[in-house]
Amino acid sequence: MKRIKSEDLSLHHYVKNYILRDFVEAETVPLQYKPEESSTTSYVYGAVSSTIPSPASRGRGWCYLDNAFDTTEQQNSVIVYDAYNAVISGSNYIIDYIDGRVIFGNQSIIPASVYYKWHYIAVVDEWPITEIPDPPVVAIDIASFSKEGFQLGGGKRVPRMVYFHIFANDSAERDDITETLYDGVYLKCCPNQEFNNGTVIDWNGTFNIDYTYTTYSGSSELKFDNVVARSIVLPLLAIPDRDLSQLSDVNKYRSRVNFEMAHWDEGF
Amino acid sequence: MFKIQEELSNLIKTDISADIVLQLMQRFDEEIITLEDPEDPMKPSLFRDEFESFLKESISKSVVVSTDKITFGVGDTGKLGFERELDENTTDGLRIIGTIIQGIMGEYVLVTVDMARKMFYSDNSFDLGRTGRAYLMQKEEYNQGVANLGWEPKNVWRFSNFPGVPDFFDKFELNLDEHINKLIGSWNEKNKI
Repeated sequence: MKRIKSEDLSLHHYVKNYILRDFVEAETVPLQYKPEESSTTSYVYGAVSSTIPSPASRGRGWCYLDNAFDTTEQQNSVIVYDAYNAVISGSNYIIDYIDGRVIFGNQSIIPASVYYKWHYIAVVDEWPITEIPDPPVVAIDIASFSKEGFQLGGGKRVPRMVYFHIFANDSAERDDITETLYDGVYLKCCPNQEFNNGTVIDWNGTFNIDYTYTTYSGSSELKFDNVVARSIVLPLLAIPDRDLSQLSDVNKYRSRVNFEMAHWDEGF
Repeated sequence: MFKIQEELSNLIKTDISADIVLQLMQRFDEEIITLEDPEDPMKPSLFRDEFESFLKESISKSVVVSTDKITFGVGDTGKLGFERELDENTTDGLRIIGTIIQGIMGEYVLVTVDMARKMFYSDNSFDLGRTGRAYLMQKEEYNQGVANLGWEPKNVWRFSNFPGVPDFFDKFELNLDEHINKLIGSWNEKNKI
């Protein structure tokens, strides 16, 4: 994996699971069998949720860790029940945390409902071109970089400019998220993970059991500096006296947090 | 001594302001104008001179030269939407450029406020209270409006779903040595040293 990709993933992990850890909701909903997604070896049940924003929408998903820097799959954030409200052991199923599904290997146990915690704020790693998620959304944009040599000895400092674009439902929510993100990076740093065996979540939305927490040897943590937060009003949407927009608009309550993210590499 | 410092300070302000504006306008030409729709009657290149004048005035007002450092900013960014409230004393050109720099998520159609009003409101009695007339409508909302009136639909704005240029005002490469040498030369020339 390229270094810039792993830095992007490290920051994404830190934002979603640590900085925004208080923006987690929980609900208990029925599970519905999905024959079209099932086969003779996997029986798929989807959560029936009418919550807006959808817990399974892009950038959200169910919580797969009980605590931000855990390295093992959650034990308390998702609980599956049968028709008698008895807890079904986690050894009987796997969880698709992205699409909100529970997958059983056979039909000897029939699940009825699921309790889960989910990420209220969608954290996306780019400007969402195709599918616009319901707010609140935080888009992480890692922009330019330049490498600077140390004044003495080998090695280099590698700074990159990062932008958090925040899209909220109202001004109070915008300010809340903005301040949380600002505080999460101001005078802070985060682990620069290597993701040797892949990310925490596998390509199919399940927990990657091979995931290991390792950081780059000879490299520092990702340090944040020059943090600036500001509200944004889009001039072409702002019409005083009368709100002309009839539909809800994702651009109405926006802000941005800019900062520099840097690490130091030893010279080899 | 104070007079020399003041004169040098003024020269630095002028020279550095011009350099910043030049670099910003280069980015404007390369990163904004190249993306515009040539058929758009409100394309940003039409407002290029207006934007350059805005930058010149705004930046030259904000450059501060002290004995140990030079600071500057773009004082009137509220006109481009960089604050909690839009500065009402703005224009359509600056609003269009400000929106492009900020970026916008989703698909929009650029219309006039009057068009939007005709689509959805019969009440025209209230005053707009601003100079701006351009307005972005969500594509779905716009399509609904033109379908009601039987109008020919316009194209989606070229800068729809554009991530913007968030570092537009942050990225400079000022060669201070070069500026200072140039200023010393000008000073010597002016004072025949």
